[in-house]
Amino acid sequence: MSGFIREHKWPLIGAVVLHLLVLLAVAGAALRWTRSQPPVELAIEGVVVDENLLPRQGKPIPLPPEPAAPAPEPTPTPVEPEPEPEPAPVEEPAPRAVAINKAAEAEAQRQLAAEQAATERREREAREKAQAEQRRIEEARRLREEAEAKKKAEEAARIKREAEEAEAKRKAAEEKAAREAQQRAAREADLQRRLAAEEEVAAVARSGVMDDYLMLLKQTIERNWIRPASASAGLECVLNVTQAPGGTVIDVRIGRCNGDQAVRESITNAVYRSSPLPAPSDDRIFERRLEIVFKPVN
Amino acid sequence: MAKKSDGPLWAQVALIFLLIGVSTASFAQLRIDITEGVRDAVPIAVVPFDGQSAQAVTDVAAVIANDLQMSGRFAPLEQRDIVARPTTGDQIRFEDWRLLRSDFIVVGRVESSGTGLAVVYELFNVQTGQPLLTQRLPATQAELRATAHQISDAIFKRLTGIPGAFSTRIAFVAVGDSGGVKRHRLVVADADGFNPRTVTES
Repeated sequence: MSGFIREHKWPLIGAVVLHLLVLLAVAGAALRWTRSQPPVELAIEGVVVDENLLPRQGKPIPLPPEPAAPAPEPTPTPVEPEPEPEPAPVEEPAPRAVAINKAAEAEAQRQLAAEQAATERREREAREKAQAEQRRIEEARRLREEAEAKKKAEEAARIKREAEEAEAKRKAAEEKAAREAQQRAAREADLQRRLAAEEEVAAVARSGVMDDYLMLLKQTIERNWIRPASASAGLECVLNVTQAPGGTVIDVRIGRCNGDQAVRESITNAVYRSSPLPAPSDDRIFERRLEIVFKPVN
Repeated sequence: MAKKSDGPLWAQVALIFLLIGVSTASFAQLRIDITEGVRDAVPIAVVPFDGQSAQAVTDVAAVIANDLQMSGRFAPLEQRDIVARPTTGDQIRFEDWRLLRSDFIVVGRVESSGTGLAVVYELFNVQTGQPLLTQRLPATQAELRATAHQISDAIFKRLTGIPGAFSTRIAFVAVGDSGGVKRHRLVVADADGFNPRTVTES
């Protein structure tokens, strides 16, 4: 840019000077114009031309000779009339000079207008371009921001999800631990309870109730055992007996036994004949399962 | 129980399990030793056999019941207590016979078999409902008493573990007094005293 200015220094200066001159001339003319004809508005070409024509229309005769006059001396006339209008501000006496002046003005104004239009167009284009650029940047920024926002949201969602998963895991672990602790406590309590119950039973048994119960069972079954001749000393047969809570014999199974069929028959029947078996004086020592050993001593 | 024991946890746990083991061993199953029995006669129901009319010469069931009673080891149910008359195993309602306090029951029938007869009988344990003995013996009308004795022998053996002697014969000397003179006779009879025959006399 600065190189361009240095290279075309003089033409540029010339152009600027010319512009200034033209501007000055136009300004001067316009000043005069506005002073002499205040009602005329700023409308440039149309008004000026009409104004010239309008007075001629009012005097149609003097007009025809005029076009002939400017033809022979076109160059000297524009030079002379220039100083003339200043001393004599009356417009009518120098209509030609005014017209030329006006044409120049019009030309200048046209140029100005054109330049202005061009400038405006350029400015508009530049503005539009800038706006477009701005829009593009904004669009890009918007997209970037959206992408960022999206990314951020995803990241947040991921973090949240991870946090939730971790929380769920932690909760599950806690629940499991709690459950296990509860189960352990229940087991221990159960154990304690059973131990206590067994301790009680043991206490009852020690008190003699158990001995009495066993003696009662023994006597009942012995009374009901019709001992066959083949049941002699040395016989040993085990019966596994199941009784219901009321003492009713539910099941009798012969275990280890060295007796003959008659013996087996007799011992099985001995237990069935004793049904219902006697009950203990303390229910806590009742046992469903009994092991009865037939072992005659003589 | 030791609520606040000082030992380490494993020791407490071990103690607990030890206690459980000991108590389980002592109380889960009561043990009773039977060292004596009674010498009572075993109650048994001998139900009259089917296929025998009232006028039959030999009542098989009666002969069996008599044999068993004579042995002293059995107490056959009185005829009047026998309310039901099953003749095969599937007709027996064991609970009824349990109420009658019978340990065993004998049911049977006399059938025609070709030119002769056949005796079928079954022995059951009333308490368990289990069949103990089932036999089919060919016979003739004349042999029916001997066949009944065979059945008695088999039942006796099955229930006492010792062989029966009901098919054997007995010999004895009968002393009679006829007109101041003592007369001696050697008599042989069935084990139950039936069919006495004088072998010789003086």
